[in-house]
Amino acid sequence: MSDKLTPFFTSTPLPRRTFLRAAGATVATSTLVLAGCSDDDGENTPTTPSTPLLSYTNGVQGITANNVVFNYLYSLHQLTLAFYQAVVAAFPTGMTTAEQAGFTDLRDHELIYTESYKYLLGANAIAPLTFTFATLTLTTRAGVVAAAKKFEDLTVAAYNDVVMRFSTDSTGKDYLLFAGKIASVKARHAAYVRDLEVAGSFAGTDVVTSTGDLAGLGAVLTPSAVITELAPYFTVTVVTSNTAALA
Amino acid sequence: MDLFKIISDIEKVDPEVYDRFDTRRRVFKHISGMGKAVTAATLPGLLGTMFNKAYGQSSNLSTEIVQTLNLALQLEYLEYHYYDTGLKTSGLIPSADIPAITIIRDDELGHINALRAVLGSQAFSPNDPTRAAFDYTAGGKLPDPFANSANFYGTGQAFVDTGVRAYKGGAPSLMSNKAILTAALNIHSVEARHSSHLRLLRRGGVSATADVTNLNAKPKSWISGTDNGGPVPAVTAPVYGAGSDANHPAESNVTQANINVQTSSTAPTGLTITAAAASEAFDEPLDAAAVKAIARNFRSAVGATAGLFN
Repeated sequence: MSDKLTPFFTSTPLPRRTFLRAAGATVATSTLVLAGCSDDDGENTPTTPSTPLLSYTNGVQGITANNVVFNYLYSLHQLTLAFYQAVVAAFPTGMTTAEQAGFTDLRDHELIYTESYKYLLGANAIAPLTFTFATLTLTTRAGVVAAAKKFEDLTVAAYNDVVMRFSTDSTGKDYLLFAGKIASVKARHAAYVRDLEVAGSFAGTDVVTSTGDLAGLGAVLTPSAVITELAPYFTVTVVTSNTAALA
Repeated sequence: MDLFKIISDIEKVDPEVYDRFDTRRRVFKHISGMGKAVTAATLPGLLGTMFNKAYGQSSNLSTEIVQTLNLALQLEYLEYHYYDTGLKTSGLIPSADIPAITIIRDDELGHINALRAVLGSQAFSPNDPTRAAFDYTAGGKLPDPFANSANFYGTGQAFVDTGVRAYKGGAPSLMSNKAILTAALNIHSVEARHSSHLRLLRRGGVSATADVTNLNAKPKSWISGTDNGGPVPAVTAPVYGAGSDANHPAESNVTQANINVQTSSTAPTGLTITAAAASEAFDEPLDAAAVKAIARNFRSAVGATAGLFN
């Protein structure tokens, strides 16, 4: 790879910074935007969230869109790592030796992803997050596999979306290459855990379109859609609407 | 206060703000309706928004994009006819696996159609290459893949893994057109799902453990090191080996973005990050020249005359 990548946080600011500055990366603005986005409460008064907010701009003035996207991906891998770590620490009943080996690999891969993203993001990196899996059933094989499927499919759909969010210069190309190398491995993960749940469902019609003009293409989900699905597992309220990088 | 007001305000200081959103603009306009409402049922609509823009652009595609997509298209034909022939060979595929192979075959057809929709008249040929354009024994160097399912899945794995690496290698050439880049990398993720499943079948199904001393025959669902050269190293080693230059290392590579991802990762107490895991976590791109060299093994005289993989 090019040697441009290592010091991500010193990258030349993008033209988009004007927007970022205007949109603001502060918690205060985030709160207002979040309230403005809500479509199911009839009131106009912004409400104060009961949990802390997480912004992928990390409050870094002039943070590049590339780094905002990496923070988003970093958070997804933090979540998945925490999940697999919980599984590996206490394998559920009914999980075979082969499956335990598979899940250990998944945990190891996620550890490598989170550490690598953290390292590359440097001063731009969001803090380590905590998660809650209280709504999942981690004591049974079925519960673990169902949750793994959800997390893996969502991450694949997230990667399918972010590839267009990097800048088109040589710096953005380096970010794309790094993320792209992970994207296909995540698809391998997803197919594996899906096959554990239902044999032959590795590319089921709920994740790969089977008819029409889009046949053979996989699911794509925007950051806001992904975070909505994953919100129950975060212990912070994740904001994606305060930056054009994730719009 | 709402998002559209914010964007409107920004437009006053940054008139190009809408251009910056580019293909995301239409998605963005629907943002207030998304969130909780996104389910599997709404996915095709979202996909359509993203990809309609990619289709029918053949008149203004760069030479680089045309070349990259045409190589991908030729690889898709190689794969399509392979699975199609397998499905038409009575008794080859165990009945329990036929639905899976059918899904893979049909996905490849979908990829052919998507690539043709983007390329239009710039496709390498207006006609579909036929089965006769391909020789799936690689000139006799591989056992007949249609003789038994082990052979069939082995060569199939080599094809899908080549495909994943080819799309990844082509991605930088597509960056100037984000809609096409998105479509191509999307296809690449579906190919990776196929690979994962074929690898599972090869090692004996969900209950079987991969054999790290014989990854050739019993691979993991992901590529570990170079998989010891793949199913038949004499032919498939280049599928997992290094490409034509330093930007295309072998699958065993553990240096990403100039960092050694094995040694830079801080493992929790009691845990060791192995080189194997570090290599598995990242798939590597392969350059067009290396991809073509692999693929040319599988064209017949008919395919050579047609100029496939030149």
